[in-house]
Amino acid sequence: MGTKHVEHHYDIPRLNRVFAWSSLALLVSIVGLVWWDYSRPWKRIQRDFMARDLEKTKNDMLAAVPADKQAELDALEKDLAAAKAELDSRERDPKYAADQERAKDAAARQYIVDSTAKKIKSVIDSRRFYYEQALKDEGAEAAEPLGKELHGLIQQRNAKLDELKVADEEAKAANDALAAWTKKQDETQTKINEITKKRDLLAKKAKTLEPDWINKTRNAVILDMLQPTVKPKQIVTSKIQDDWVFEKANKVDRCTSCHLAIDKEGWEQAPQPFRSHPNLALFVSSKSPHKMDDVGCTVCHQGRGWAMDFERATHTPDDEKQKEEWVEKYGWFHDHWWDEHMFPKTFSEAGCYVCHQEQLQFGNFPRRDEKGVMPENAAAAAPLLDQGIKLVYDYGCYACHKIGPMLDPAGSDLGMRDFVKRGPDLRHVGVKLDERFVNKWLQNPKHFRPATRMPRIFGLENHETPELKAREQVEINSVAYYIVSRSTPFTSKDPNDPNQPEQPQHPSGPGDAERGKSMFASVGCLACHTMNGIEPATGKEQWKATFGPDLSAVGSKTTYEWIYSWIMSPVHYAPDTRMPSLRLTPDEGRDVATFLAAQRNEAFDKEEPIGYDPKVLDKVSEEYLLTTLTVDEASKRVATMSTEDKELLVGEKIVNRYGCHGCHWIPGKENEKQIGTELTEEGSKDVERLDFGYLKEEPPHLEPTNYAWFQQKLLHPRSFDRGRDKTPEDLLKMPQFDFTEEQAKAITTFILSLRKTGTIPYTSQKHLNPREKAIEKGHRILLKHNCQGCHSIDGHGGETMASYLPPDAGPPPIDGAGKKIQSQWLFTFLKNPSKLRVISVRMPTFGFTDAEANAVIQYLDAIWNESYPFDSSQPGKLSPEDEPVAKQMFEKAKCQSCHVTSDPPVATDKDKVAPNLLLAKVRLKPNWVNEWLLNPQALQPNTKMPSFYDDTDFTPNPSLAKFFEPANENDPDAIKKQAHKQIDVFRDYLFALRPEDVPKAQQ
Amino acid sequence: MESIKHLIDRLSSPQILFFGSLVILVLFLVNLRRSTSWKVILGSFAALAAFYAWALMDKNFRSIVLVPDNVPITLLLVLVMFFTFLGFRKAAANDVRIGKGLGPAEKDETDLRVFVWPDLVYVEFICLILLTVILVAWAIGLQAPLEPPANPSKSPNPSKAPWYFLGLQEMLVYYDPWIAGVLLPGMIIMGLMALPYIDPNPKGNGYYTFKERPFAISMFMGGFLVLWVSLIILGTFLRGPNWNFFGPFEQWRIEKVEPLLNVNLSEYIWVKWMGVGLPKSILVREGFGILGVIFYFGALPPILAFTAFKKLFRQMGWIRYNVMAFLFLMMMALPIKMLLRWSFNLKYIVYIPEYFFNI
Repeated sequence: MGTKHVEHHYDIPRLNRVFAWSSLALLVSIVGLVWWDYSRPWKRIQRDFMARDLEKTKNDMLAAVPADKQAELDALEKDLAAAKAELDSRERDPKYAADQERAKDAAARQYIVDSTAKKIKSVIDSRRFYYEQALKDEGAEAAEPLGKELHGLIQQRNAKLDELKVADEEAKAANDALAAWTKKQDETQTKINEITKKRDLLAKKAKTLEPDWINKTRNAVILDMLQPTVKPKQIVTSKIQDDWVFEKANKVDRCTSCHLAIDKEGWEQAPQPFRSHPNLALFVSSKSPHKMDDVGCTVCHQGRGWAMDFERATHTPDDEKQKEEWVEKYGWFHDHWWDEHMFPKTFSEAGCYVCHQEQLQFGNFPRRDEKGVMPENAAAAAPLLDQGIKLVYDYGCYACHKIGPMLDPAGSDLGMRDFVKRGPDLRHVGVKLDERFVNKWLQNPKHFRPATRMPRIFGLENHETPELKAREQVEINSVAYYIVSRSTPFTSKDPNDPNQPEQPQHPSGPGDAERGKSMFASVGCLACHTMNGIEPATGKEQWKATFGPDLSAVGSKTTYEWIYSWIMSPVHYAPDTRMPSLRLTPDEGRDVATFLAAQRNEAFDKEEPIGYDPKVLDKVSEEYLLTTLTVDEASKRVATMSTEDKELLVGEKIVNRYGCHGCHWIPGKENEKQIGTELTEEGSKDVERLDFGYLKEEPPHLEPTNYAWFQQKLLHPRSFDRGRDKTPEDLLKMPQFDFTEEQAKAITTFILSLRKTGTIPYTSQKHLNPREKAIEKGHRILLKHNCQGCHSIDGHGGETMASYLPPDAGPPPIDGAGKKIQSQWLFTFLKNPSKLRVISVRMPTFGFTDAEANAVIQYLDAIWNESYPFDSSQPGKLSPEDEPVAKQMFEKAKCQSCHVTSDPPVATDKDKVAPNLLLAKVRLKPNWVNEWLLNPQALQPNTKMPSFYDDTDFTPNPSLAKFFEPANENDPDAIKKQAHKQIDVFRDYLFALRPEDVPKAQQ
Repeated sequence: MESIKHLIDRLSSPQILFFGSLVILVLFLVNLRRSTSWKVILGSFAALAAFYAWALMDKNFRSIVLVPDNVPITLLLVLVMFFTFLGFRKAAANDVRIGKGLGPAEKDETDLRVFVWPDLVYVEFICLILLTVILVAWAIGLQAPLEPPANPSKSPNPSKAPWYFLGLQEMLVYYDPWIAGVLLPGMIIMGLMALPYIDPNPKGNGYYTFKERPFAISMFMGGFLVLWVSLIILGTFLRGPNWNFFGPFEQWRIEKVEPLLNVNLSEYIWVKWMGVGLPKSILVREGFGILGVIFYFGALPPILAFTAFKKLFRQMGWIRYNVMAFLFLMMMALPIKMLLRWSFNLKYIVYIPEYFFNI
């Protein structure tokens, strides 16, 4: 082969140059790699925090020694210097030197003996094993030498231990001798340390924060793999888990790597991420119920807990402005690789419900602690979520949407099944309304009654084409006809039903509207209803009740006869209504009904109901028939059907389509299911599964987030149909509730809080204890019956109270009711209220079941930590010698000028706004009477009941003084004792009071 | 501008892209001399760069092409173009030399000898360093996203195979998984392994040429560039949610729906043409399809042996020819099925769901 060797194929010097350059490039890229890996944002943040913390620590150090101790400290330091100087001057003293020498020797001796003893001990332990082994394997005889050796060693050790005792004593004596020399110095130093303890600790901390060369080296690039001070900080908690789909693991949150002061006080004003948590009493801090180390961060806030970068942790901006700011500052982007984005600040309360599903409200009710004491910081923990839950409850969202925890909270019997139908009962609506009104009402309920919670169903944005408008006209007419024609008369109930309510009552003629008006204004209607022109003043502002409907134009809606029968006995028309009976007499009923029937809206009366094109009705009917019939059959059927039949057909379909039966009882639809999407885990739903239509690309340019979608849905429920081409049946059907933006945010918070709870072990969720359960049940009854419309509890509710003057003439606040009222009496009263006082407002008859009445009593006892249902407090027995005195007090205090003293009240009791004293023994708890007599204002601030004793020194009111021996001047508590004695006697008198004992003089 | 984008979107369909790249390949090979001239090479790269520069101004195009996972596919396109041009430019030059009787250019160098160090190892070492630099820069520049834990109940949409399997995934549109996912990839590997035994032709060993073995190179380049690389590019950039086909300027909307009108061969024959219902017996029902498949693999090789592949059959002998013909027909099965799908909405040639056997 003719091969030929050439020196080089390549130009080697050139290759050298290429090699040099590429090596340089490699070096640069490796350095870049290391630097890129090293210069993570969280490290900069930690360094920044250390600088701030150092500055703060130094400031704290300056203030660490209190000013009043400074002089003492100076003196002590002087003493210390003096003591040191003195000791130094003794340095030459041969005795001191000898003592020092002695202590040194003693310590050395002690050490040697001790270590020898320990050495022998370890040999003994080893030899014992061999000896035991030999005993077992070779027998006692063969093991003999080993045994002897062992015993020898043990003796040796005992000798050494004796020696050690001596050495210890010697060392102690030598040290004592030495300590005598340095005594003064040591004592002064201890005193100084006591004063500067806090400063020394801070100084120690400052040392770790100082950016000195040691710390700098520890945090230097690459060297930081050893023992850096800048390092990721993470919370690993076993109480909450992270869902890794195939596996659940303890939650890992690294948020505190940057939020370094989140659990510390004193950083409230610092810029983020160094700010303290805004509610340390409740969250994060080690004293709070939600300790950071137990629950982590992301269980409430969501987000990617183990991410270390701002944008990867999926921080979510609260608004457009913040978003722009973040994009500029952090290069923020919507991280679609993560599903559970952090809640924006607005919705941060959405984290509560995932553990607290058994609770309906977090703040709208008194939040007394286990001892019945109101905590100082009783502010609502989650006001927006509270508002959301309340709205969901008030507007009856669950009528269409199944909301698991709300209707059936896990593991508790606190279901809200009682609440299911939000709207009026329509089973007998024919006697109440005519088709004409229903037609006008359905077009837009708010047109007739602006404050109604009934949403608008027809005439919304996805029905704007002429065809759909014509179709809706048919639908409105058909529904009106269907509803009215399917209603049944009052008396259609089963006569064998034991719960059969009384028969409808018919007024025997018109009443007096003026009397009716004053009755309406004072008897208690305004706690739930509004009426133009009659507004209760709450002292601060006009207040409108929203619990019941606005009755301003009720005369345009229904008839005098119906109103009369309704107010006389609401349960007769609607067995599960929440409207109570006010026990009106027929005369009062006629007056009120006459007044209400006269409230008309003339303009509305004149309006004509909407008509429709019969051809459209034919077309729609045929369309519905086609679901079960062929084309031929359907058109033939339509031709033979009467208009009424067609309206019934279409009306029923529309009632089904819009789920009217969710809020109303409708004959034949009693067992229909909810028509809406289930919301039980809606907050965990993938955003991809929410149909945004074209609203991401087109205005309003929604963010691809679930909360943006929910808010849009709540504010503009049909807007996702924009730009879509759908059949009438496929069009969105959620009605328009006209929520405000604030309300939409509140409801969105609630929906976001409906999440999968799988990562929270049962034991980590909030489960109510018996007391809390009693309170929760009570809250639900309070909500259901609007008790707080009249009564205030710990300052919540009772807005109508202020319109009654004097305050005692209005509904009483039920603060402390658990301490005050005896259970048995309260039970009877709740079931069948009796007249206690002579006032115009009445406690209505709610028709409580036994269970409900008991729950109310248990609730009141639970809040104030009273024992339920009975307790052992008893009044004393009135002694014969005290009786005349008590009687005299009773007269002098003029109790009867306000209190009713006959049962039932008689004509002479007119204007007596205070409760019947004859009932005290069955009604009041004795201990409460004592507290009340001592200081009524403390228990009920606006009461007219006078104080008979000064609330600080117990000096009795002059009119009551001197019934007993004058106070013993030698006993400082004498006056107090006397006051208590008087109160006891007086209470016992009250509890023994019989009608025949009541003094007649003052009546 | 918008109308051009719309036009491009409208023209972007699997069939146009597939046959377009096939036509380009044929045109490229037919006139190799001109198609590997500097004018064409530089023009192609310039056209590509210009298209990217213009297209990147579009939001939708950017949102797909600039995804960190997808950037390397553009680089892949550039590299494939580069090496194709390089190889064929050398081949074209050699073909001219061979025509003149000079032999390939590589022949001039074959007798020269240099030392392993530094001529080989030094260059390899520099390559190693530079590739490391590229990988490091790539790792920093195009970071992988931090994704959530895998969740079988929530698969991403579109669910895409790794980029090198996107050709296979595209086959799944036309064939059942047992063919597209098992049989055809298996055949690719078997075929590549069998290649040295089917083709002992020493021509082209150690040098570039096209004219000396046009059939082998055309087949390979057709399989590699059209059936593999172009399907990867198509699968990366143009297949969106629900595996729907999207133009390069179209927004990937999950709501997009394409009609599915595909019909089986048996339905065509029995129902549409003969107007009778489907026969009960599976064999009768699917008889035409089964016969067609038998014809394709059983009768076509001998027919081809006496017609189109006459010369090959003579050169290769009976066994080699039949193996080659089988592999060839296997490869052609994909474009044939594609063609049938696009022109007749044909779903399956043989449709036996009773035994999960569909072709």
